[in-house]
Amino acid sequence: MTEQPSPQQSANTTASPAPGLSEIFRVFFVLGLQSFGGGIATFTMIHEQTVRRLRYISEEQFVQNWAMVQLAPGINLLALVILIGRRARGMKGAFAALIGLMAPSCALTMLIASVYTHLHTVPAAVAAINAAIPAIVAVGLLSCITMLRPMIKSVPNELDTTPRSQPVFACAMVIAAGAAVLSNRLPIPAVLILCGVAGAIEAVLSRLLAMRRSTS
Amino acid sequence: MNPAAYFWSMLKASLFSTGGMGNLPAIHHDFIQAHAARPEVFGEALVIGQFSPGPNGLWTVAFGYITRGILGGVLAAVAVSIPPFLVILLDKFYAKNRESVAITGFIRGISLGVIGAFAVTLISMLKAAHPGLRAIVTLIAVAAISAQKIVRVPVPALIAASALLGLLFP
Repeated sequence: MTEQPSPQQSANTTASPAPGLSEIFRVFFVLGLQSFGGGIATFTMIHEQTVRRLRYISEEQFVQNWAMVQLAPGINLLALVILIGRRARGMKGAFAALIGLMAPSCALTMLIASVYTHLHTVPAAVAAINAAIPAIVAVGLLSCITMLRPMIKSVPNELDTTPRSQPVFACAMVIAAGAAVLSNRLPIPAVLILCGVAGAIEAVLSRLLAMRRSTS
Repeated sequence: MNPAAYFWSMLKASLFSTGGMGNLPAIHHDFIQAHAARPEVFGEALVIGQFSPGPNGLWTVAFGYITRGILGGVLAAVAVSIPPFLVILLDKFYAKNRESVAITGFIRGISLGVIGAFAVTLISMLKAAHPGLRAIVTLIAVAAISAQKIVRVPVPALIAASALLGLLFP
């Protein structure tokens, strides 16, 4: 348990100064109250608040975190919230973010569970939820574009120690992963691990090519 | 099923699964075998998980509430909150090896894959809702409003406005 910022946090030049624990709790509490519409709506709102509005983490770190939580056990979004809270304010930040999100969400889930048997037969409620889905999808697709942008805007050079994906490779990977998920032949974790292996090979080859160019 | 066994079943299922609904098969197996839940409860809990705020994985909280009241809901909430903390170990491993080109490339590759998978999931979700012309118009309008930078409209307001339109003009 530590409150020291992680190395990623100190390396992050776009993040705001460390927020207080009460602020982290409040931000995630409000998210937990508002994020109706399932996991995608929650994901989109977390992205909007913590990256675009409050700048707790950078766009690139957010995508990295989201990739990492795919490998973690349990609910991905909770792991994401833990990482964001930890980056913002150490382990206490992780607990503040998680409890902040979970407390209202769980209370409302139990409340809905208690009245659900009456709600699910009301056509107006079903119509309202169906009408909200395209809005959630639109915001989610925009998030995809926002997440992809920093990953394709720059390519490696001799001085850059961070390997970056070539734009064509990055777009091809996104399309290939989408097609693989759509075909439903492989479980999603297997698709993501294959993407990771392809990314590692591409990064090593790019580095070797860059080194060869610099020596010749 | 006593509270300790109840909690352990939920915790074990989340510990050895990934994603919001990855724990469903294990919980289903344990509770049906122990006659601790009716089969229909799983469907009801999954639907509530879709409609309630927070991650879809909170279907377990709805399941807990339906099967064991507030205590069940609280036990389920605590059980699903513990396993995601293991992500910190993964994060520390990555932080130690971030200079490695191969490991950074591996994470970057997964990130790209996640974006593709996420986009496909969104489109599947839209298709499942049998979208008509109004859904397409809503999608384009919300995308346009969100993308413009002149007036920032909060995402919940956009979703609530779309739901209200559906309520007024079903």
